[in-house]
Amino acid sequence: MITKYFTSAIVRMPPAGHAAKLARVFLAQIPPRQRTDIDVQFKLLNPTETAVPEIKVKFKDGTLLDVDPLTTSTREMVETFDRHSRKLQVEDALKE
Amino acid sequence: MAWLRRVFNGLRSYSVAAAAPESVVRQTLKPLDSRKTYLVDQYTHLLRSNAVMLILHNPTLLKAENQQLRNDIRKAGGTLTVVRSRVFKATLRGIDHADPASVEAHKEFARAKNPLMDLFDGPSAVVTIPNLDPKAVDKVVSLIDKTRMVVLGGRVDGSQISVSQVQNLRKMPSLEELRAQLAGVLTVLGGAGLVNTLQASSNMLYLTLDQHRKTLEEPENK
Repeated sequence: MITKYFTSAIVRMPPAGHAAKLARVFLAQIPPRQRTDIDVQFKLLNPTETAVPEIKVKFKDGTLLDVDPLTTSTREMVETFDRHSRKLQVEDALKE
Repeated sequence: MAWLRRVFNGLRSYSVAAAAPESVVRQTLKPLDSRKTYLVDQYTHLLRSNAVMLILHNPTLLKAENQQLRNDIRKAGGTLTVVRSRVFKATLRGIDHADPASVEAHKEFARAKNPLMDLFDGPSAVVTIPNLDPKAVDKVVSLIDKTRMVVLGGRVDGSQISVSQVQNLRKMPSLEELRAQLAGVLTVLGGAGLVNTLQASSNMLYLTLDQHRKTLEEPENK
């Protein structure tokens, strides 16, 4: 997953289940050195709470993308975010 | 290096043969000297020799952060172990068997479920604390809260506890304190009556014997 163009992320997940797995994989993909650049707002949901789990990413150009952690697969999530990151990558390359 | 390897291999087979005669060689699912068998054994040991285990989400930490956190947790009375999630799940599956790494455990518990297994989806780590010591749990959790690691749940004396129960555990007094409180309450409140009841039979015995002694001594005095 290309994380270079993320500026912030919102992750809300329950401790277990499919949503948790996706959110944990997402969090693990952000390299430790980049964690000062990306503002990750993390919240662990109570299993009794009805709040919906979510993964939301804000990119450097201001675009907001989100995936539904309950229905998305890991591959789909990575593809969704990479699609936009690659656009920004191309723009970056053209500027140089 | 080839000669060294030959010597090492020779020693290794010798030591295995010496340690375990043919009849008691463990029948493990993965090869006996494989890393997976070693890890299953290690995790079994962690699960069986510790009263408290906290399960954490493990976002990779920087080396310095990692070392600092490990040292701090050790000082607080715990041990941080980064685990391989799938191998840990396999261990949990067969934990009711004497040897979870064995072929037998695999056959018997292939479809077994452990509620703790759900917490091992993704990169995980565990903190183990040998005794049921809420003060140590409190210290460890406050250390973890400062980092990007997340407490997802725990295991106390073989049963799973949720995040909110971990928070409750942090506030509890230690087992010794609870015992002292119980003893205090017993002596102060209903204590006098209870102590009397417990002492009554021995008192009665003493009085009876004392009376008996007196009656025996009386004729001699006369």
